[in-house]
Amino acid sequence: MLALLTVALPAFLASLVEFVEAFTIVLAVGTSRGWRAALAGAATATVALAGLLIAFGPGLLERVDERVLLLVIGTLLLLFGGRWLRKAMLRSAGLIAKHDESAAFTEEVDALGRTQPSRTHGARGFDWAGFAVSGKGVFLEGVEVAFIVLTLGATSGGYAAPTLGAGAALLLVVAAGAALRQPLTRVPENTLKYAVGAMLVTFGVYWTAEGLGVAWTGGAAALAYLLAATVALSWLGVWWLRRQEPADLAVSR
Amino acid sequence: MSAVLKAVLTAGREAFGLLVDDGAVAVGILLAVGAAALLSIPALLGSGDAVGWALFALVWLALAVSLRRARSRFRAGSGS
Repeated sequence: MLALLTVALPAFLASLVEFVEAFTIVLAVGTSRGWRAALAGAATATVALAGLLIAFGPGLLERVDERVLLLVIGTLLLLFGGRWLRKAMLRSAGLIAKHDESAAFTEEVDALGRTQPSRTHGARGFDWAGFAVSGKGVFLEGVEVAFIVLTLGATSGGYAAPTLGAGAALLLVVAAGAALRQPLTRVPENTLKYAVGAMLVTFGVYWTAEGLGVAWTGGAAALAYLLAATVALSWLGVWWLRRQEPADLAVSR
Repeated sequence: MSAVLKAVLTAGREAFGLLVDDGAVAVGILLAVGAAALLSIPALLGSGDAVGWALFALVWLALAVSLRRARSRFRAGSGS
């Protein structure tokens, strides 16, 4: 039950955000250039990600000394989570524009519209540009999911919980996307990114410190008070940023 | 095929950017981890909670500096 809360939930929330963004790109390519290239690009990226997971997956991670592993993964989580939390705080304060899936879709379709399909390969042709855009989008969003599943799995003692969380997010997005066939704008991406950023920073501090030999008071319970402190400080930070600038002056970044 | 090559190059650059899109915060966090590692030697703080909290404070210092820079850029951009 604890693993579900501390590992599967962050993996689910983070993956949900990434899969929604990947879906928007595949949808943009599919509707503007054709589904053949869009799905082929997504499938190729998925195979590449599977290769990445096998190369850097459990087999490699289990051969590394536990404290070194905690230190390296904790630091990576701090870098990764710090980036998410920083951006989410700036968005909450109105200093950068919030992510809008509908706008992202329109932007992608416009960009694809400026590129002529290169139908030069074979009699029926194949849209390599659409394939590349779809593949790149799925790969980049997928790398983030793979990173989160691998790091949470390696440091929590098992890959089942994070895989379950990411798998549930994938199923949810694919099912909702197939049913709606439009960008999933109702998913509160900015709030999710804020929550996941706070969780990743918390895990990062906890595991980096453990990698340095720290024995936290209360053991895993320290995650709760570290998360509370992270959330409190981030709110304070957003208040400080808002105090300086009116939210309605948001500029796109 | 040039679109594919371009996409591969962009993907590589963006994948690196996943970790260090703001170089200052990335450097700040790495410095925070380095400082915490120094503090964790037995002659200083050792292996107590204090090292963990020092790391927490240093990470937030790096984030605060980065947020302050972002705010300054915003102010400069909006002309205020």
